Amino acid sequence: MRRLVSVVLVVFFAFLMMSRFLESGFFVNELSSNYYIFNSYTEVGSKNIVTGIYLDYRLLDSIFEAGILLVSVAGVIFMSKKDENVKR
Amino acid sequence: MISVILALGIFIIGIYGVLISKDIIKSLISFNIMQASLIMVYMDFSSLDKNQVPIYAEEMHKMADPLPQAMMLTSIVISASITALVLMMSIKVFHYFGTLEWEKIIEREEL
Amino acid sequence: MINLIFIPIITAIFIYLIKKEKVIKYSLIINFIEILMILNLIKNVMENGSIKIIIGNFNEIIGISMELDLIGSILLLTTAFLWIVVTLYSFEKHSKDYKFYFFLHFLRGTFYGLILSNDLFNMFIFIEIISLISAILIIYKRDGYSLRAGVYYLLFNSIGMIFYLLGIVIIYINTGTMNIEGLMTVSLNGTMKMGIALVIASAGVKSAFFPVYNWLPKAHTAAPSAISALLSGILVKTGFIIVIKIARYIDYNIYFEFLTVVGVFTAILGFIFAMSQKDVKSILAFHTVSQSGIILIGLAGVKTLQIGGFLHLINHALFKSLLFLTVGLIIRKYNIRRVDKIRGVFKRLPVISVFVIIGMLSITGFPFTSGFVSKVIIKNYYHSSVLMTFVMHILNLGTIISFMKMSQIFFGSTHNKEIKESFRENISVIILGVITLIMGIFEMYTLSNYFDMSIYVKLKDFVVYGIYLIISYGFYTNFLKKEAKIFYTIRHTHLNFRNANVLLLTFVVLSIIFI
Repeated sequence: MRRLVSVVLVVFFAFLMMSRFLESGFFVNELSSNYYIFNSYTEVGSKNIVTGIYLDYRLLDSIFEAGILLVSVAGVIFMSKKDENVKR
Repeated sequence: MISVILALGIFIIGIYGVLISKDIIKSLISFNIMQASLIMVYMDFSSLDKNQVPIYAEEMHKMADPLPQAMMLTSIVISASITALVLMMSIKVFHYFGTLEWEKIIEREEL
Repeated sequence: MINLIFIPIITAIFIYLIKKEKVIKYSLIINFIEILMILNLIKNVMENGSIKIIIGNFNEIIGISMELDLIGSILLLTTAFLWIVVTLYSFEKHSKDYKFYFFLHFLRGTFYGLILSNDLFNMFIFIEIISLISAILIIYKRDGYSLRAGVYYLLFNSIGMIFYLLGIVIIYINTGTMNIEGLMTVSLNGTMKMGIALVIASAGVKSAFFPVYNWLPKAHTAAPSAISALLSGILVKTGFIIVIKIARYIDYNIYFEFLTVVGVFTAILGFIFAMSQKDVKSILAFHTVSQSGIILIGLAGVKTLQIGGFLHLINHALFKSLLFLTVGLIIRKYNIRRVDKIRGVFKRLPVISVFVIIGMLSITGFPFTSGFVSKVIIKNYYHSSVLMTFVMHILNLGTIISFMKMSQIFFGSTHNKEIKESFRENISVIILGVITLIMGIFEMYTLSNYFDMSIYVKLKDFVVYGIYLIISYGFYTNFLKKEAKIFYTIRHTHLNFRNANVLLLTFVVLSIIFI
């Protein structure tokens, strides 16, 4: 019973997404992509545009990505301390 | 365009996996499948019919979109951190409860 | 403005490196410095309009932009104030745990970043860090009860945020930029509406809307009391921050009816579950779900309704944390959590019980308190619709009934001689209680002077409140006390993880259809 409901729901979700995508076509707006490609070497100075984005245009994202690594490692270290309780 | 539909198909498989998995590890694996398929969706939208590598060259015709690629670098790291934390928590859950199935952990508790 | 994000994070790193207790206690001064900075920013916003910056001074299409307006600055002030109170509260018990304060300060820094940020992917990163740190803080005690709540919370919220990622790729291929202001520049065709619906569905997972609220009672009951206050107060509102930011740039008619219906169901289901619980913290946690429904009814509409919803967001942060902190003190002294076993709070702990009563009066909408102001704004907008007035009356009745059930802890007496008060433990609760008490009158004053909306307290409101009390007393003595069978069944319905995800997928499908 649950498997039937899950399959119906998932197929319905897939059908809904496909119909919305196919009615407007896969048209990609190239506004920021053109800006990055044409102005990145003069503003940032790196020839690899992805590096330029990752380290200069979107620096705040990279800082907080390092932050989430820090918090995750601190959490794993904190959780793995042995404590004296037994079951429950 | 076929690649987008295939990547969304893998996303659908991931959602189905979350809906019917009976223990924590299978839910986690299905979550990782969903995340990986989303990475493929982003990459497909960045290079639909333009497939030159986005490195500065003299003639630029049809360079791929560099922004989703940078976003996905961050997203891979985030998904790895969450997976690490859930795995550590499930080790502790196994110490306390002896089992990892969802039915036996979230049990009725007369408080 | 960027300094406001990084000062708590650097404090957190210093606390983790230098592990002494004096450093932890002196880092409370940093909170006060932040309140001064926020007050300076509020003065700047009120003179010059909203402040917009782009990090690195790039073009606004491609850079990460941050914006501060009046709504954001009030949220910043509430966040800073709540963090001061919670830090003071946890100096009693956790004073030597430097790891606890590391996570607490880091969380504050990223929450400031979420309020300020105006860029879709940046908000995703901040929300994921908030989920991660909240999960670590929920399982701080590391016993079985908190661990299973923590795993459920983290996995469910992460699955919800995957739908957010799918939503922003659809928005990105239509608008071409990751800035939220790109939503203004494109006309809304079918694909854009699907992207916005996915984003709103994942905001619903974070803020406990109707089908996807299941993680909230488990997580907020199992967490330590200070963290419960912080979670229910301000961290459950991250979904509403997403909805507020989107609602600035698109037409509200897209999601108005759908979100109002979801809000009504959330509010009613919240208090039906809250009436049948026996653990004191479970009652409060289910009430968070119910009040989230009321905030959603407010935020989904026109500007008057949005002011009411936003005011209820701030008021709920204040009085729900007051209730959680006072109940935490009571539980710590009595060592029991069941509402029918705790007795004699009013005789032994008079100061704490006064503040519990202030919290209860605020949440039920007694005239002159802050809950009254926000509920009256929403009720006045819907005064022409019979159905919504009926729903609002039922909500008030339900809230009063369950708090009447909770107020049985005041009567009677207890034989335990060791339960007494001390001033050092009460000081954080006193500060928060006084601010909650004067908040209602302060809001009525500001609304009538600066915003052109006057809220009057008439004699009719006191009479209506009295009628609510009489009806709910009758209901309570006849039905609730005798422990009818239906409440037992409601209390013991537990939702599996699989079934909860089926409900999540149903919610996503419904929101794609109706938005």
